[in-house]
Parts: sequence; structure tokens; C-alpha cells
Amino acid sequence: MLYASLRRALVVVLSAALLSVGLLAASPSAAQEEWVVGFVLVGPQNDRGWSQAHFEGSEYVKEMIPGVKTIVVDKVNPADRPNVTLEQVIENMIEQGARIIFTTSDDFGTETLAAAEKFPEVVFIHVSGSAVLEGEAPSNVGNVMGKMEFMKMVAGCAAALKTQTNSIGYLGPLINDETRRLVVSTYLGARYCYQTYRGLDPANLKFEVKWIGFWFNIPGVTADPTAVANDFFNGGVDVLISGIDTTEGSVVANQRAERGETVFAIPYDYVGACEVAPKICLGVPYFNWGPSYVRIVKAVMDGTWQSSWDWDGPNWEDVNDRDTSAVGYIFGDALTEAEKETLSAFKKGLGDGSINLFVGPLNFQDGTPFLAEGEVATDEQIWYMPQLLEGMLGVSKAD
Amino acid sequence: MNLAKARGALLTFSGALGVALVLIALIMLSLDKAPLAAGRRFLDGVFGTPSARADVVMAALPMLLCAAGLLLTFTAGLWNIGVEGQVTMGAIFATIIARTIPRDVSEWGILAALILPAELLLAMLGGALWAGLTALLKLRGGINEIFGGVALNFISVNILLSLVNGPWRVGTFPQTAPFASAALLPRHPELRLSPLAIAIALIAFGAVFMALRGTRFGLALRAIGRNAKSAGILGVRVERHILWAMIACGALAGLAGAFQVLFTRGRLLPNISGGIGFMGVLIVLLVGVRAAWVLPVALFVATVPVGSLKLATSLDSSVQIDAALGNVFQGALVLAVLIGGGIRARLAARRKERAEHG
Amino acid sequence: MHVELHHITKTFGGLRANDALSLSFAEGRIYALLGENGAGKSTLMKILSGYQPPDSGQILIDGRAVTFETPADALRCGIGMLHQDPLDVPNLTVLDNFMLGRREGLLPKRKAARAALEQHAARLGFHLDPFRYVDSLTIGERQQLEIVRLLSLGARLLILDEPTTGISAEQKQTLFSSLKRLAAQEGMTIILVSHKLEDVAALCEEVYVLRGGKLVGHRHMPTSIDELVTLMFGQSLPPPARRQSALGEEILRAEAVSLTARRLTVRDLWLSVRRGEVIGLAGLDGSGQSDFLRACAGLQPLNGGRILIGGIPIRGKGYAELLRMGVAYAPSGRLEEGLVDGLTLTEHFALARAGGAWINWRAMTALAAEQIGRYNIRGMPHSPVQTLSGGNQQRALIALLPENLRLLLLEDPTRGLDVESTAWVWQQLLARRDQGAAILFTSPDLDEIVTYSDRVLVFCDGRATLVSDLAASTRNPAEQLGELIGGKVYEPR
Ligand SMILES: Nc1ncnc2c1ncn2[C@@H]1O[C@H](COP(=O)(O)OP(=O)(O)OP(=O)(O)O)[C@@H](O)[C@H]1O
Ligand SMILES: [Mg+2]
Repeated sequence: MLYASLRRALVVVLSAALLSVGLLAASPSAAQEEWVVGFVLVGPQNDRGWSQAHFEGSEYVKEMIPGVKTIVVDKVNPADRPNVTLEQVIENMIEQGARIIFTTSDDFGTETLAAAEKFPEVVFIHVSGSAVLEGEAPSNVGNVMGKMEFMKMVAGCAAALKTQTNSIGYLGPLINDETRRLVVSTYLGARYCYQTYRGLDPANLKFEVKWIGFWFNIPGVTADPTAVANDFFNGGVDVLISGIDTTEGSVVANQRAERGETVFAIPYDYVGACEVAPKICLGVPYFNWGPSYVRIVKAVMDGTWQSSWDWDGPNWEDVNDRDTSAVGYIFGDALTEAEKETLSAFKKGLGDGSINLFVGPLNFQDGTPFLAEGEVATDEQIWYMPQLLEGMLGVSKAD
Repeated sequence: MNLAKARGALLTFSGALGVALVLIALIMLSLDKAPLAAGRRFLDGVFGTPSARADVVMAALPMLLCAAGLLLTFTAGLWNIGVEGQVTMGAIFATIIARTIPRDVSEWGILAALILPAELLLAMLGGALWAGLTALLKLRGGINEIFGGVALNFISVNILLSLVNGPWRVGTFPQTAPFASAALLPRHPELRLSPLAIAIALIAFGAVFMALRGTRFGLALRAIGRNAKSAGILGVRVERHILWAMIACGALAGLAGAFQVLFTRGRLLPNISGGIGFMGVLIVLLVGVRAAWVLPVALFVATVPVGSLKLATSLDSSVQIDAALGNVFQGALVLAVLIGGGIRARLAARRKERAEHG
Repeated sequence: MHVELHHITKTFGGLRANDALSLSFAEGRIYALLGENGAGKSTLMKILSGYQPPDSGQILIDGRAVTFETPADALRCGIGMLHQDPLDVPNLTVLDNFMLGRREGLLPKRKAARAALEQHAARLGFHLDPFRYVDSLTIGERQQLEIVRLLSLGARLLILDEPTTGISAEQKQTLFSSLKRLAAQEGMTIILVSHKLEDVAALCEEVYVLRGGKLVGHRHMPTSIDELVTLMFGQSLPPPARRQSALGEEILRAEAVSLTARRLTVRDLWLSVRRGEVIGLAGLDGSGQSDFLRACAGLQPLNGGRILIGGIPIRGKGYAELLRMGVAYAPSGRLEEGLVDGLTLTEHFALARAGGAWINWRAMTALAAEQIGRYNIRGMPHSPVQTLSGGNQQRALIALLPENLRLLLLEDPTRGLDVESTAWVWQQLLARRDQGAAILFTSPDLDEIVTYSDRVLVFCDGRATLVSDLAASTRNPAEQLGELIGGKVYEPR
């Protein structure tokens, strides 16, 4: 009995010690003079995809606006940080003095709005969301997205120029408005270039999308992108365009190319994605978040920022200009000089408005009209793309 | 059970803590980080603000529940590795009700007061069912509870995924819509804290503690854990006790799952258990199935995710660490304790062999 | 080799288990170490064989002081001990167990080891199948294995702690003649710890007697058993009285029972037992008597036939249920099956006694204290059972049997008990019989069976024969029983 009570005492002492060490060590939190900007990433900051693009955007902000400090927290998802919620991350950032917080995943929408209600003095930018457009956001929330559609058109064009089997595959992530409009744009670019530059009948161009179910491979949950990519090539596809965050498409194409097949790939998201397999790379459409972020942060610092839904386009002068273009397309090593010239011409046409691919007549996949003869799609019509288009293979909606 | 043993356990634990800390410090140094500053920031972060303290407490609760349940099964010599699946099933079962609760329940009157109890009970049922299944597989099918548990963990994850990818999915992500506040554990107005959840967890833990100390059930579990044959001869219904120990553990794990959906996440999503079941196993192993130590150790383990987030959100890049490092720390700690315990057991055995023989 | 113990003292808490003991053992002689349960015999032998250090005192071998850190040290000096409870590893084969503790480098040579095993076994007249698993062996065979192992490792002084509890008369014969040969021809010193004074008389040349941790006598054989008993207990004991109890209704009925024992199948067993009856189950070790007991307790399935308790078939009922019907089983394995290593006596009583969900620890401690007093157990309510001496563990097991039983199934109930305790335990058991319980028990000791049974069920060659007129026999009943066990056909007169 004596021993038991001694043991109990020991437990109490230990707990007390743990607590008091903590209390003694407590110190005041960060100063308020400087501007602190928080970035919440859903994936690893070095994923060569979506999250890394945001990370580089945050670095750009630091570089361009002296005196700004950034806090980047990556891997905010239930798998990597099982016992951490977005709410906690945001609160911690604010504790550290953050006055602007970028939440860079579609997934963060609801929680971002909730946090914005709770911290009205902090500006929240939810990337890829459209709550502002829909009038559901408090006045301290903004949305921003890059007009990737244009670069996807270029990707589609590159694929159409290259294909010898007249068959293009698109490795799709999950199905939603955003991913549908990106596939549709890719298809429109491919169809246009197939017809215009190669002089072939677009009815003979096979363009198929297969959705794996998520942005990246989750064994047992999504279809395995490696298997899907191989299916595509086995089925006669010779150019594979990736719409997912990871690089399986390029890896598989590279393996097959090394075995002597003539196949190519186009990755996605991140400026450096071609480095995975340069020889078979036809280029990469990528996001360049820096300019948008700098603009927003500066506006908030000046006090001129107002809630808005921004869909930032490329700088058509030079889509790869790091300081001005929200989206870009880097040519890959597998393109010939002639193909590069054609693509540049195509890009130029997109830029000066001489080529507009979202013009009727266009029908949805089920045959219902999307755009009437001569009708030009509005931003909203494109943003909320409800279906794939006639002529495309693959499913339009998740069941 | 004497003072020397308690001191030994404390020594092992602090020794292991030291080893784990040194290991982490070395890793951090090799990454050009500042371990000392990080340590200070960790402690500041974890204990410095009421909201962080609340986070630690709330993170500890589900682990505490799992550990409480596991005290029962480990005492009976059962390695209930299936606890992770039992947490998941608890979360799923709680969601059955939670997802149907509308935003506005003002018309419901007295019924509204039944939402939470119903959710919690259903969650306990879900966990208990899963644990009971493991027990039946063991008792009727002769399948060791470890293998049965692993298999059922796997199945529960797949059920969860097919639900959040299928019928329960709302929006583009594999998850349900956020639950209405009437379906959630009531939350403290300022802090991320649920006094009700704390009360439930403490009561549950207290009940387990008392059961092991003062009841025939607890004593029978101890006897079974040490020698099931003899326990049977002494009149203990061994199979029935094994079944009930598992069911009780499953119910507590189910409750932990309910906490995850009804408080931490506010919705059902993949990986909802977040490894808290395994954390529970580790806690019980860390304390060597000594109930009194579970509470402080659970709190201690809970500081890791909260503290690592503090480091990750720090302005000082020399203390920013990767999310994985927190897990490395936990892993290193557990390993060190187990190895330390093993060494101690060896020394003790050698000493015992020399000193006496029973 | 001449071994001397000088002023060996060992205390546990406040208890002086060995109190300044000085003994000496000469080469080639056979000694007995006697004493009541808890006298300190095992403690002393564990010190001599390196399992535990003394608090003070010295061990001298051929005049040279030695200290042992481990049993291996002692064995290197030629001292090996055969324990009261076997220390072998049950789920290894005989050969694997034999090879444990041999120093042969990394890769053990199984072939050589097997040859050594067979050679040493032959030297002693034992038959051991190298590939049997140890848990399928009888206690007697496990002992033989251990002796063979110790000899092969170079033991020159062999300590046997109650080696004849749990082995058959035949195995005992073999053992004794081998031991005698070892002593006479090879100069081996042997120390026998035993409660069976006939064994001591048959085997030993000198006797040491301990009481309460002190040496109270040293005699050369032959010495009369009466004198030894007086030395051990401070008084001589009256012979057990036999009397019968009034018989009640039928409690146990076995109909055409067939079951698988360790080596053979017992077929077509019929038995009817009435309350107030004592039935002894006799047979060579492993002939099915223990298995039948276990079957009656619902612990072993039948191949055929059925068993009824109080008219109710027990098929499908577990032991816990039978316990509630007034049936209790006490196995001989003690710490293997019966007592829980690590639990205290109080905790054992709390478990074994029915009651509510909450345990009233104070009441249970009181109960334990009372039972400890009643059954004269050397221990405290808070003593973990493994710290009790072997005989005291056996007493605890008997003390744990619930009250108001209708049928007691006892496997070797006086295993390891001293003479006095044996008589006393039987007094307790017979008192229960007088309250209306039937008793079925096994024992390797035919005298015990003859003394206490009303009828005897003899197991031999897969048959079970009921013998009801032993006491009436003019010949020595134990001798007659021995013949029956050995296979002589029973002819009722
Ligand atoms: N490890 C221990 N801790 C506490 N007490 C012990 C321990 N080992 C033995 N004892 C006590 O020492 C006394 C002597 O025990 P020992 O085993 O030597 O008796 P023994 O003469 O061999 O008796 P038995 O004939 O019953 O086997 C007993 O009262 C026992 O309870
Ligand atoms: Mg003894």
C-alpha cells in the first residue's frame, strides 16, 4: 500500500513537472510590425506539382516585397498530419502574426470561410475556389485561379501535332467543374491543331480521358495511374497528357520509349515537371502563382485590397515571364523546331484573339447544345463546365 | 509492483525520452536546424497559450479512450491491434446519424437532446461490433486476434473509403459534408475544447481504472492474461471474459472514433482514425499496462502533433520541421522505451535467476 | 567430490527460510533431506545449485570455497539440480531440450547430441524418444530427460527435489536402481528431497532433517520411520483411520465412455458414483486416469459414450458451468494449471469465490487469512503464489476448492505434501465427503489409493476395471493393486 501511494505520488509529480516546465518557458508571441503571410499547402512543398508551384509563389512574394515574412505549412491533409486540422494551422499562423493567409486547395473551402468569419481582420485567399463569385464569402475572403485553360489548349495542340496513331490519352484526376474545363480545353486545342496545322479530319482524332479518382494515387482508392497509363499506350495512344498532380504518365511513357516505342507525355502543374523524363516531354503547362500573390499582398498592405474573384491569365507577350504571367507553357525536348514554331503561332493566335476555341457551334457530350453558332462562352460558362464535349471519349460525371 | 519497479519504469521512460530527443536533435542538426530553439518553441507552443493547451487535451482524449480500452485487453493478454478499425467503425457509425441532422433543429424540441447520446451509443456499438467480431474469430475460428484485427482494420478502411467515395460523398472530395452543429459535441465558446468530451473520456478511463482495481471482471482479466488455463480452473469463464474485454475495448475505441468525427473533424473523411488506435497501443506499451501512467503519457504523446505544428508554423525557419519528424520522434520514443524495457526485463531476469527461482 | 555447506542463511522478508545450516555430503553416498512443507529444503538446494545466493554462509567443494552466480556455474563445478517443478521448455522436442545449455559453438551437432542422449539414457535404463515434444511426456519422463541432461553436462552431485511425486511405481523402481548404481559405481553424490519416507528408507544412506529453517537431525540409515517423523514434526503421527460414510444418491455416471489418453485409448468405461463415496483411479502414468478426471470436469472431450452429473449429461458444458453445479477439479500441475503465477493468495480467493461484480478486498483478505490458518499454509494473504513452497502451493490449491461441493475431482491431491499434511488434507477431504461430496482422485501412490478409496478404478491397457473388495483382501492390498495395474486380470471373488 505504501508503495502504491508512493507510485501515485510519482505520477503526480511527473505530470506537474511537465506542466510547470511548459509554463515557465512560456514567452510573448511574435511582434506585429512586420507583415506575415501564411500559405497552407495540401501536399508536400517539393512535390514537383501543384503544391510546389504554390511554394515557389510564396518564395517569390518574399523576394519581391521586402519586409514580408512567410509561413508555409505543407502536407495539411488527414494522411500526413492525422491529428491536425486546417483550423489549427490557421490559428497558429495568426498567432505568429499572419495577416494574409493563402489556402491553396479546393478542399480547404469550407474551413477557410469559417476561419474568415472568426478572424475578420485577417485576409484569406482561397485558391481555386469561387465562393466570392457566388456571393457566399465574407468580405475578407478573396479567390484566385490561373487561366490554365489556355495552356491546356497548347498542350492539346502539341499532342495533336505529334500523334501518329491519331490517338491522345488524358490521365484525369477526379471529376469536377475545374477538371472538366481543363480536359475540354485540351481537347479543343488538339482538335483545332489537328485540323488546322496537320490538315486532317478531326473526326479521325481519338481523344479519351480516364479519371483515376483523385489528384494523386491512393492505393486501393484511386485507379493506379501507372496501370491506366499503360492501358492507354496498349490501346494505341502515343501521346499521354497528364491532369494529375504526380508524374506517373511521364514515367511510364519514358519506360516505353526506352523499350523502343515512339510515345510522348505532357505533365502538369509545375514548371520543372519535364525534368522527370525530358526526352519524351512535349512540354508542360504550369502555374506561376508569384505575380498574383504579389499583387494581392501588396494591395492588402496598401489598404486597397477588396474581395474579388480573380482568374488571372497569361502574359501573351511571354507566357513564361516569371514576373507577369499567371500560367505558362515550357516547350519540352521532344518537340522539333518546326513544331515549336507552329505552337508559337498557335499561342500567338490565342493571345491576340484571332483564335478563340470557346466559340459555337459546340455540343455537350450528350448532344445538347453548349454554344450556338457564333456564340462566345462567358468566363462563367467555362468555369462551371458541366459536361465533356461531343467528340470526346470518357465519362462526364462521377456516378 | 513495488517502488523499485515504479522507479525502474520511470527510469526507462526518461532514458528513452532522452535517447529519442538526442536522435531528433541529431537529425535536426544534420538538416541545419536549431534543436534547442526548437525545443523551447515546442514547449512554448504546447503550454504557452490556452488554445494550445486545449488542443493538447483534445488530442489526448481519443488516445486516452483507446488506451483505456486496451488496458483491458492487454491485461487479459490480448493484442487488440484491431483497435484502429474499431475507431474507424465508431466514426462511421456516429456518422450514420450525424450526417442526417439538419442545420436547424429548433423544431425538434426534446428530440434534439437525444442526438448526441444516440450518436455516441451507435459509435460504441460500431466499435464493439468490430471488436466482438475479432473475438469471435479468435474463439470460434482459432484466428489469432492480431491477424483478425489486421484483417478487420483493412476491411474497415475499405468500408470507410467506399462510403466517402460513394453514397456519403458530398462535393468533389471523398468526404461527407460538414455536420450541423447540433450533431457535434458542444464546443467551448472560445477554445477548441469540449468539456463534455473531456468528462466522457475521464469517466470512461476512471471506469476502466476501477474495473481493473476493484472488480471481479478486472481480476479475472489479470488471471487470464497470466495463465488462462489456471484461470479457467479457478472458475473464470475465460472465453466470455475475452469476448467482453474485446467488446469493452471496441466500445471505447468507437467512442474515440465518434470524437474524431463529432469534434476534431466535424465530418467523416478518409483516415479518420489518424492512427490514434495505434497511438493507444503505443501508450499502453509505453506504460507497461500500468493504468495510472496512461493519463500523463497520453497527454505527453498528444503534445507531439500540437508542438510539431507550432514548429511548422514558426516564423523562424531554423526550427521549422517537416510533418514527418513528429512521427519520427514518436516512433523513436516508442522504440527506445521498448528496447529499454527489454533490457530491463533481461537484467531483471538475470538477477532473478541469480536471486531466486519460483 | 566432497561438498560442505557452512552456516547457510537465507531470509525472505522477515522469514528465515534457512537458518545457519551446516551440512556435509561425501562422495558416492546417497542422502535424504527431510522436513515438513516450508521447512526450507528447496531453498537450501537452490542455494547449493546456484539458483539463488545465500544471505550469508559458504559452500566448500573439496575444501575450496566457491560462489555460484548462476546454475551454470554450479553445474560447471559438478552440481546439478532436478527441480520440483520441471524447468524444461514444453514446446521443444526431447532432443532440443537435451541440447539446451550444451556448449558446442554456434551450430549444434544434432547427430552427436542424439548419440549422447541415447548413451546417457541407456546408462540409466531410461527410454526417451528424441523427437517427442516435451509437453506430450509424463512428468516422470520429463524428469528422466532432465537427469540425463544434467549427467551429460558433467554433474557429479545430483539433487533431486521430490522426484517421486507424480511418477509411477515402475518409473520409481527404474530411477532408484539407476541412482544406486551411479553412486556405487561412479562415485556420484545424490541428495534426495522427499516426503515419502519409504522412498528414503529404500534409497538413502544418510538423512538430514530440517524444521523451520534449522537443522534438527542427522541420522544414518536404517533409522525407523517413526523416529524420522518425530524429528520432522516434533511428534509421531497416528496411522490414518478408515471409515466409510453413508452413501447418497448417484452423482456421477459414466456410460460406455471412450476417450483418448496420452498413449492409448480407453474404451467402454462404465462407472456409477454415489455421494459420500471415494473412488481412487489407479494406473500407470498416462493410462487414462487423469484424462477421465478431466473429462468429468468438462475439460476434455469424449470420443464416445456420455457422462452425467446428477443425471444431467455434461456434453457441451464448460468447466465454469460444472463448477456451478457443484463439481470441482484440482489439477496436479499447480503453477501450470491451477494457480496463477503473479497473483496473490487473496486474489486467488477473490477469483475462486463467487460474489458480486465488486471485490471487497478487505473481506477477501480476511477470507485468505482464515483459509491460510485453516489449511496451515506458510504464507501471507499478499504473498504471490509462486513464492510459496511446493507443498504450500498444493495446500492453497485444496483451500481454493469451493464449499458445498457434490463432486471433487482431484489429480494427485497430496503431491509434494509431507506426511502430516497428507493426513491432514485427507481429513479435510473426508470431511467434505461426510458432508455429501463424492471424491474421485488419482495418485501414483498405491498406498494412498488403498488407504482412502472405497472402490478403485484400475486403468490398464485401455480398459478400466472397477475393484471393490481390496480392503477385504487378505493379501497386501497395495501389492494386489500393483499387479492389476501391471496387467494381471482381475478376478472378483
Ligand atoms: N521467493 C520467495 N519469496 C518469499 N518467500 C519464499 C520464497 N521462496 C521460498 N519462500 C518461503 O520460504 C519458506 C521455505 O520454502 P521452501 O520452498 O524452501 O520449502 P520446502 O522445504 O521446499 O517445502 P515443500 O516441502 O513444501 O516444498 C516457505 O515458507 C516459503 O514460502
Ligand atoms: Mg520444496
